[in-house]
Amino acid sequence: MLRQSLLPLIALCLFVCVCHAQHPLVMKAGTVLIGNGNVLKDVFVVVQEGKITYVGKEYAIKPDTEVLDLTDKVITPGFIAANAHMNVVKQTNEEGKEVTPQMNLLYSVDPRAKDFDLAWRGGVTCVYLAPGNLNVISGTGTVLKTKGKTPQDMLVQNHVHLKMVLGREPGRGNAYPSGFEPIHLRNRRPQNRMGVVFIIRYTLTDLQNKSGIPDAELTPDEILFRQVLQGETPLRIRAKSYMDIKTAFRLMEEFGYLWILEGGVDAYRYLDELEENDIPVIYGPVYQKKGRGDFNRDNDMYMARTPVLLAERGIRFAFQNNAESPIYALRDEAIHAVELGLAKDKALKALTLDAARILGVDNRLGSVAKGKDADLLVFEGDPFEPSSNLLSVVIDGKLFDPNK
Amino acid sequence: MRRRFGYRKVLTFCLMVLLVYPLASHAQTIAVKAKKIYTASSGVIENGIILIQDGKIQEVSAGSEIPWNVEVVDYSQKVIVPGMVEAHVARGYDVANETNPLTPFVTVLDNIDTSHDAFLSALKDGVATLHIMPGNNTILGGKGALVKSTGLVVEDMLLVPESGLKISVAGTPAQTRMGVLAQLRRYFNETKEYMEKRKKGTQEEEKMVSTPGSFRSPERVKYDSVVDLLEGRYQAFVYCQGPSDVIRAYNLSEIYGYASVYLLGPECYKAADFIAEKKLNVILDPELVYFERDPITEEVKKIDVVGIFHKKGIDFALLSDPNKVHTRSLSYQAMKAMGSGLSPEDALKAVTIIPARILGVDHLVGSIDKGKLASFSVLDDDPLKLSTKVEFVYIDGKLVYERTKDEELKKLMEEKIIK
Repeated sequence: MLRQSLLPLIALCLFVCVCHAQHPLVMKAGTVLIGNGNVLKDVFVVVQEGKITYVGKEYAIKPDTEVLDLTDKVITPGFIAANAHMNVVKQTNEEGKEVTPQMNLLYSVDPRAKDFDLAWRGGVTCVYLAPGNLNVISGTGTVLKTKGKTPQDMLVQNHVHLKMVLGREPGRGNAYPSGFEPIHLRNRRPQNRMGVVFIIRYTLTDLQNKSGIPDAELTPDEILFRQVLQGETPLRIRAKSYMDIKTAFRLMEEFGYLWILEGGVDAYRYLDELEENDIPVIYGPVYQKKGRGDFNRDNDMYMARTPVLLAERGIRFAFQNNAESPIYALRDEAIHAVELGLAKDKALKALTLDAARILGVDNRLGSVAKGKDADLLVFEGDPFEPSSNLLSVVIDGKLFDPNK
Repeated sequence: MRRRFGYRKVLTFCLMVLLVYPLASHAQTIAVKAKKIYTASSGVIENGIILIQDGKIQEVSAGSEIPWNVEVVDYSQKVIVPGMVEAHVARGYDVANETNPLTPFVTVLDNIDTSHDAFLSALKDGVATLHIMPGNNTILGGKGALVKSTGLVVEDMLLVPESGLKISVAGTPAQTRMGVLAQLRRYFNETKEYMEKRKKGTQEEEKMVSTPGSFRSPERVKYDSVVDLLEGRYQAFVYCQGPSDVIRAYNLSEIYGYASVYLLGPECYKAADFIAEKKLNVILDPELVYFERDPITEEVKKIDVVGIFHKKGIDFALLSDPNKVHTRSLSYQAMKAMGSGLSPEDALKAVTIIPARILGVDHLVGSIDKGKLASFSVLDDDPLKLSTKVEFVYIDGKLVYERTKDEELKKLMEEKIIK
């Protein structure tokens, strides 16, 4: 009796399983730019259940599978914005304290925000989001896909880097007029560069003094800082002007953390140091005026060739956008860098694999290879020619039309 | 005898002058040889020659016959395209907008800073003619000027000193569209009254006020530039933020009888049928792609503005916005437009002859044709490719930009950076 009732149940289960298994998405590609600089010609890219299952010349096509003919098209990995400025969180600054290492954007991200749609329509399939710039130590970063129903669906990795902001930004608006007592409720501490460095030094020194104390007796904040000092979590330091970058180097010598330079308008001044210490740079937008809103206004030369200089030195770099350049213009940034002399393979690498490596998600993203997430872009032609269109976007194995 | 000798001397001199004069005048003629000439009006001429005299194009031909007495400039490995024309530029000065919303009497001539970044970056891109205009935030913004993109003082740069009046029918945070249109109507009505009053005035008064340097009544200062518009001396450049603004602006221009050019916001693609039907002159927003979100389904639609206008057969001029990385230069905009289905020829037209036609200066600039000003750029390859570089720019037959002598570019490329 039991066996009789079980058998059809098992059969049903099997049937459901077989039906549920997705048909593979088979793409016959003319050109595949892998992302690490290499090019494959006339290969099959097979995608199943969100992963790339095969990249190669010989693939036995089953009779009932449809083959997407992309013989005159170009496939690249999905672009990764190593730092995204997107309107997906209402308020990114937690202004209650200057040091808020545990802040994280994941639960305040609105997955239905328009900017996510703009991002994948521009070919950006993965973004790094972090709390704002008004805190000295503002929190950890989140790496998200740009398509999904909930933040958890979109999540690639959380608590990626600990963000630290140098320069005048954390002190913006904090100073009160001279002669007046601070009567305002929101009286925050750093008012200039010195104040910012003081807070960092105070926080890290405090923790150094607790080196003998076991983890169990520390606060979660202190555990995070311990991870930073032990080199487990890299610091992402936002520093624009040359003096802030120098400060980051000085603090590195003092506390011995691993760090990544973000913003880096003046990164070209420290090419030797960046190369020597193997510090990745997140640069962008490509055209920006140096010293804007800062004191060195005399030299307004465009720093657009920074990516070229970084590539020549072999310093790992990736692109970011800011408030003035929308997220879907990430490709345009790379195009401008190419126009000024960056090799096209280096530009693609900066948009894909190098960005993934900087974010520490290169096991899942960044190139067209077996086992990686199926985040792919299909271009009409050369992706670094402004007139060639993006035809389709694949995110987690699903095909989307960006032009609709 | 002596007297006769004097005659002969004079005669000889006259004869020599007559002989030499044509030579002397021909010495100013330049023949520019090129591998390809993109005329923008009559296709491409292979191995062509442009003859330039007194800053104007005397002849464009495919033949290889060059008069013996001209100076030859050999660009036989290079490509020549017309100097681009940007139809609306709110740059080239420090502040774009007046705080007072009704200032038709101001002119950008008083505002233009000839050493501004905008002019050099225009030259670098091959833009030879700029239409400088006040910004979009004022209702009656003032008069614009059509200038060449190089010169030491504004007077050197002028092509058309008073080229149009800026109007904005878009609402501002401080004022609704109702208020804006009511103010415009009131100003136009007042101007008409003033015109009637002037007609009735005595001839002496008219003579007195029209003499330069004489007394100008406050009324005259207030209304003259709108009088010029209503009498058709120049056209209005109307900024339309949305599709309904286009129709309102059109109705207003019909009522008061002036010619308009429509400066469209990205959403104005919705008025494309209206624009096609009325054959309006339009300038597109620098943002060539518009993302629209359905409020109910929350689906985002990508709208290819250029493609829509192109399919409707509307001629449009393109603009750039150097503050944004994806709309940085006019050539980049034309390249982007090619992605929307424009042929390279059409894309080139949208930054050369069409803006010139819209501005009413297609007899001066915009294409390489006989009788026009010799404003063109010399490229190392076919135009509208990313790898193509602008090597030389000529304005009025004079070499005004050389890539090899561009100091800023040199610094940028040779890493001459102070560490």
